[in-house]
Amino acid sequence: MAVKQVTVFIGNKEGRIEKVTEILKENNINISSLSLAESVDFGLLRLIVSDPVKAKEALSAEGLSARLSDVIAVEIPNAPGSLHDLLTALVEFNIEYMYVLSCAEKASMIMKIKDYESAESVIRSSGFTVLSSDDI
Amino acid sequence: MIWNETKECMSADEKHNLQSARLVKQVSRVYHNVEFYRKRMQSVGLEPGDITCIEDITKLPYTTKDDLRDNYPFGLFAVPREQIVRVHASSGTTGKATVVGYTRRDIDIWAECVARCLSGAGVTSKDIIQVAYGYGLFTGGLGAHYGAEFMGATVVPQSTGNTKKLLTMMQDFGVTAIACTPSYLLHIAEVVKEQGILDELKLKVAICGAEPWTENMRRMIEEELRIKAYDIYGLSEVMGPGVACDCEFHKGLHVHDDHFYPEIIDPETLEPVGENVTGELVFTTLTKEGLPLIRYRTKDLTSIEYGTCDCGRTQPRIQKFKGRSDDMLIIRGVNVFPSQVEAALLEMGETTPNYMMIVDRVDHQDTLEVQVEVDERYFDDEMRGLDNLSKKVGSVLKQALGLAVKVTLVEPKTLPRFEGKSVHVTDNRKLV
Repeated sequence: MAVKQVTVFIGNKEGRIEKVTEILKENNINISSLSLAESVDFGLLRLIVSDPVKAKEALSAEGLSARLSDVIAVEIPNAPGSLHDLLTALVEFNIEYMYVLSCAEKASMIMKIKDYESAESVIRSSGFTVLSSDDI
Repeated sequence: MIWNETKECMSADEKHNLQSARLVKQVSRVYHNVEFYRKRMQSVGLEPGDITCIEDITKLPYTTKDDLRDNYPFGLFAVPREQIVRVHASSGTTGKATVVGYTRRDIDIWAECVARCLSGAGVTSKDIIQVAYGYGLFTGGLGAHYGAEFMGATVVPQSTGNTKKLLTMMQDFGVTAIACTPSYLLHIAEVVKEQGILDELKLKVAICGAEPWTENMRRMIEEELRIKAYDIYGLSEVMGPGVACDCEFHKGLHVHDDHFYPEIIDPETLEPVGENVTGELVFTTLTKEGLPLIRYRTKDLTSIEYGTCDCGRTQPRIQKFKGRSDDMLIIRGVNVFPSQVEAALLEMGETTPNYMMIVDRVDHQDTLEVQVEVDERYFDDEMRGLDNLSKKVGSVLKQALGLAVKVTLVEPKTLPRFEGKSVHVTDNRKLV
């Protein structure tokens, strides 16, 4: 089950992330996790939110470049070595990016992998839990 | 030194007779050989017989860059194609090149005009000259080359792009003169300073052109390289470098008006204006065979001073350029129109068509940054996708402009929108 991530293109300058959070706040959308990839001139803000479709529409309506993409959410034990075990299972796959979704009793990761379906089945067969939107 | 005293120091009477005879012949030639000119003249009820002296030139209609474009590539040539021995091309407003053609005699006259310029700058057949303009479709390289060769100097056809090699050869060959853009020469001066090799150089004179520069830049060049620097002007439509040049008194660029007749007009009313009044520079080529131009509007804004210069030349002198009556930019010697950027982006279609061009001068070298808006239909959640997009825009623009461009991706709707005339250029170059 893919999880929908909202990606927003923002200029690398003052107030741009705040603009995104302002729009999400006005639309009563909760942010579960985010990551920011930055270059000299711009950044890509990646968000896992309570209502990705509504978030994307709200951001686009405000003139921002936003899009939805499929990412994998994986649950792993919050214990030493568990991330390494997951990555060993996925060693044949090119992971474009990853970031932490939550870090409580159980930990979870967001991962972007091109060959999404076979990656998911490798994750499952290695004993990890793939989360769906409802789990987040 | 004056290369051709008979022509460069002609008396007013002699000049009047020569220009009149040449104009009469030229008008008759274009009327009979070029359909475009025949129709233009007929449309205002003119026949070749109506032109009897140089003053009659004001009866003739103007020619513009659009006319060259509309008759692309060879439509305005006045001789059969077999008699054309060379073509050059420069970028036009819409991406289509402006093509110019030369007969063997045109090339000879061009070489003579460049030789006059070099001679005015003190270059002689004893000199070794590095031509560091681009060689190729651009007229700079080959134009300067033929002139220097014609006067018997030793030519090093350096072209552009490898400053280290240029300096090695300048030292090893004992180069005494250089022809290049003034901004490139300032860059060279900086490298010379870094390497501490000024005392090893025999350079004594520079002939700089292809872009506007100032008295201050000239002084900087002269001080830093301990040389004399001279200005040379030209445009490919009229011929290339060597249409006009500086002398040691720096009182304006002497136009070789036995070949190129200059006028200044008001760009709005199109009426000729008087001496020392700023307007648009217009040229008529009096002797050119391949591509004769009648009252060609250069779009360069300047004024003309008449009278004999302290150097003894009687040619009219173009004063400092004050800009353009169109939106053309000259970046590292390359002519760039904002509309070319727009056309290239529209054709590629992966960004919004909004853009801003930011021109600057960093370490004496012109830079061009183009900001484009990322369209949400085309961007990706991965950096790789945006990297590819920015590279693609860069290569599309490089192809379109013939110039390396720094591409900056910006958010949609952040670039200024314009009602009416749009302003797509910020030029931060300080020509002081």
